[in-house]
Amino acid sequence: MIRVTGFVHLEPDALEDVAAAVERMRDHVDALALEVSPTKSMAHGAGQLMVLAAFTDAEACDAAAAHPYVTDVLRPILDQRASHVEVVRYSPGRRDVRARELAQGIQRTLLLHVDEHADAADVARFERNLAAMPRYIDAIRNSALSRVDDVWGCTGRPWTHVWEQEFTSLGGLTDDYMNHPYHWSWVDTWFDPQAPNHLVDTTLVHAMCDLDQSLLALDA
Amino acid sequence: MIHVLDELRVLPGYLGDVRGLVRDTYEPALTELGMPLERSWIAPAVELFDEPTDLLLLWTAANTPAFWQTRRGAMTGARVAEFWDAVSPMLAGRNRRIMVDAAQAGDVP
Repeated sequence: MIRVTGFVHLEPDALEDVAAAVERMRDHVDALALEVSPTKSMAHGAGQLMVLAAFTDAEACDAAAAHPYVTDVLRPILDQRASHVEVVRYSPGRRDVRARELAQGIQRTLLLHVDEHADAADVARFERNLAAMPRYIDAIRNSALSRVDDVWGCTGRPWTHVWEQEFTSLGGLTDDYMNHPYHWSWVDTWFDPQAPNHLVDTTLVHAMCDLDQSLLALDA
Repeated sequence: MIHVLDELRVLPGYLGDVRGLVRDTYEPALTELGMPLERSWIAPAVELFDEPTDLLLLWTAANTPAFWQTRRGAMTGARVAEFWDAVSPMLAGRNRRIMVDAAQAGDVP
């Protein structure tokens, strides 16, 4: 499976039109799943519209990107109406699926850059710590930690990882996730410039949106 | 209550300089952000001439929101970064532990 996640930066009056244009991809491209949803206001660096797509394989993903609807209709709309579009492409990494039927939930996506000079053993430990969060925090119903294969539109250091979680409600993220001691006393040290084990760049995309159906539970 | 323990391994001859930077820069910055210094220690109980001496700084946040407030403020403010830039050449290493009372584990407001 190939996942593609996009963040579209827009003026408020463009949101409805652009979201509708992205939604119309359903009629043209062969995607396993497509979610198009306004970014929650508490998001950071994530624009106003999130686009979550899943494709069977790289071939299907490439075919979608090259489809005339995308190249000749959607891209010109984005060029005209969006100030910035940021996209990552990745194969789902470590997944933890506890609620396969999750519906009408909340998607949270974190894009991050791990220091390219960091020791490989430290990076592996960081990935284990992050991927283990659902073992401690029940509100994380599904999650995946993936390494990014391709990045488009990134203005800073290129994203290396995508950390995605699905919750049944926004409170699962803003309360259970943020306030859990496994988060603030353990995992967060990898993100904190004051901590000696810090290895994640301080620039992040911290995004969340409504989710109709689980994408993390999808099988290729 | 959340405690943050910074363990600084201070190179020989620099303990006074590091303590001065903590007093003049780091402590005021963290206090302002909501995480005051509760205690500080050195170990062993004398500054060593030819080996690092540990300077232990115990900070206190009242609860999880106060911890996050300090964490975010420290990241966006220049003073904390300036402190670490200034002090790092004087250290042989450091560690940070984020702790709660053992009886309070899993029950922090």
